[in-house]
Amino acid sequence: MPEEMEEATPRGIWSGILSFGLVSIPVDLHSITHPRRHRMRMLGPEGERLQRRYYCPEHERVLQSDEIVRGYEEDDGSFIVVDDDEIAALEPKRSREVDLQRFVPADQLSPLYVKRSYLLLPGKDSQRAYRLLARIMEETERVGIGSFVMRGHTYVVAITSARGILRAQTLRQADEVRSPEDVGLPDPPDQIDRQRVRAFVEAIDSLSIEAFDPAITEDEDETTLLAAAREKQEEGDVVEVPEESDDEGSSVVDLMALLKERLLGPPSSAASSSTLHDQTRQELYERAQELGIAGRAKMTKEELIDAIAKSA
Amino acid sequence: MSARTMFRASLQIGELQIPVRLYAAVEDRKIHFRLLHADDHVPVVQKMVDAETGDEVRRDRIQRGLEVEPGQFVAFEDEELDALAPETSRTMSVEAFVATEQVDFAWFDRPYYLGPDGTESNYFAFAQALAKTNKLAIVRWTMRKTRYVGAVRAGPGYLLLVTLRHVGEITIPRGLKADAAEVDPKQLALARQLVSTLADDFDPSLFKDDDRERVRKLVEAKRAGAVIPIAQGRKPSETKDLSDALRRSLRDLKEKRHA
Repeated sequence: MPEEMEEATPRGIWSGILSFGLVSIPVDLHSITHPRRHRMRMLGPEGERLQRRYYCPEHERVLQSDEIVRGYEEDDGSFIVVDDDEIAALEPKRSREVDLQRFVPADQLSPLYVKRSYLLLPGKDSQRAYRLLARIMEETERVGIGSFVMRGHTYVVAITSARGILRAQTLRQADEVRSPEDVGLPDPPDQIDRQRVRAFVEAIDSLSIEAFDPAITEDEDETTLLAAAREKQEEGDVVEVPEESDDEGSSVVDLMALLKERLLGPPSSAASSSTLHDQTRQELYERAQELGIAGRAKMTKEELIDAIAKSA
Repeated sequence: MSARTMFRASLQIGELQIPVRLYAAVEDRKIHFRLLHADDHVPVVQKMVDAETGDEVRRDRIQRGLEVEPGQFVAFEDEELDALAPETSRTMSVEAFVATEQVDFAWFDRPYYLGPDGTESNYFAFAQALAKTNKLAIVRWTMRKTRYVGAVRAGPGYLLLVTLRHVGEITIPRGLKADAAEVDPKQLALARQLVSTLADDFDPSLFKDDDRERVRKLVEAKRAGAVIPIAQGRKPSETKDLSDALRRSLRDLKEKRHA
């Protein structure tokens, strides 16, 4: 089933240790959100594949990634220039640990703060501790709060548990979220019209469904566009585009199968993918960081593979 | 200070209507940089080039297409896309109500506040009815030529609207029935004690964005011409003896408290 497939490695996008107190649980973090399946792409007049490039309007030429620096724009329009290495020196050290420093009531976790949800799978031989944490959070109806470093950024996460499976929710910072007062919402009146409330409760009851059906979130814009595209396709109105040099190398992982294997089955032995093509851009980026490759922040996956292969 | 209204709509619940205003609930606090040519510090512009030849392709020569089969695209003119785009509608229609806990966090995309637009009585009555029934409303609306699906939830005394991701954009693992016998009761008791020792209220003001602070300091230092040092963390290792680790954790925490 396509919904259950995920372009990733069995190790996920981050591997580390979940700790509460002195209990350490090796875990792998997996993305469960994917980009939309059908996206508009830009093509050349004859259907050529295009690439985005940076161009200097002064020198009137395309720039290579090592010819680009970052600038912080001052009020007067001048720039404070910082280079990649200075930014990299600032990046927090890769931390392998999510230390759960507090456990808060699950119902206090508001969607105002939740940014993105990830799946946590137990690493090798850590099923028992993983199950224990999942079990205790469900029982106490609490979620663990901690932070970790991924892709050179510190993330605050809420670790939640449902049906024995742990999830990590990245959270927004307090100053990124406006309060109802910031927005200027009025205070509720002392007296709320009971009859009106009853009328709404009745309306709610009559329109209620038992279970949330994902189909209700269908992307109607995509459906409309796709139907129009199919129509044109049938009329033969298509543009042939040369296949991308097919060395993306992204292995497809069945998350449900992986989940079963990690929670119930024998520990996986195929976790280490060795070729550069099998690694995510982030893994490659981190490798490039270790190797001190200049201009790595602006490189594509292919460029990173190239640069790493050359410097190794 | 009151925020800018992003959109005005009427929440339609069966026969009942509530005029609302939509406000952004989150703001971008990131420190942004512009990309510059290293030689002359002129901001770069983006150009599209032919992936094969590297030749520039002018904007007016670029076509936009949707992949229908591998290697096969259907191109659309701007006018065709405009014709397909939905009309803005002032109606935010409720498709269904469902128990709040039914909608997994993974669906939530971006939060907004809904405020009353004009008359407030229906707004507050609806917020109370939602809180009372512990349900959320699945709504659809069209804003700036895009159709959205969202969930309206009750905050304490206000309405929150969170846009939802679309079906196919997320994979939620259904979960496996965890067998109760598989967890050692003694370890469970220790873990329960540990969680209660670490129990606290959700307080986002405790989250510090050190990254942002570091970047801000870098910019300030560069203004003056200096560089700043960075801190390091400790390395944890895998737990071998679960019960022992739980016991030692509790002891450590108690010592910390009595210190």
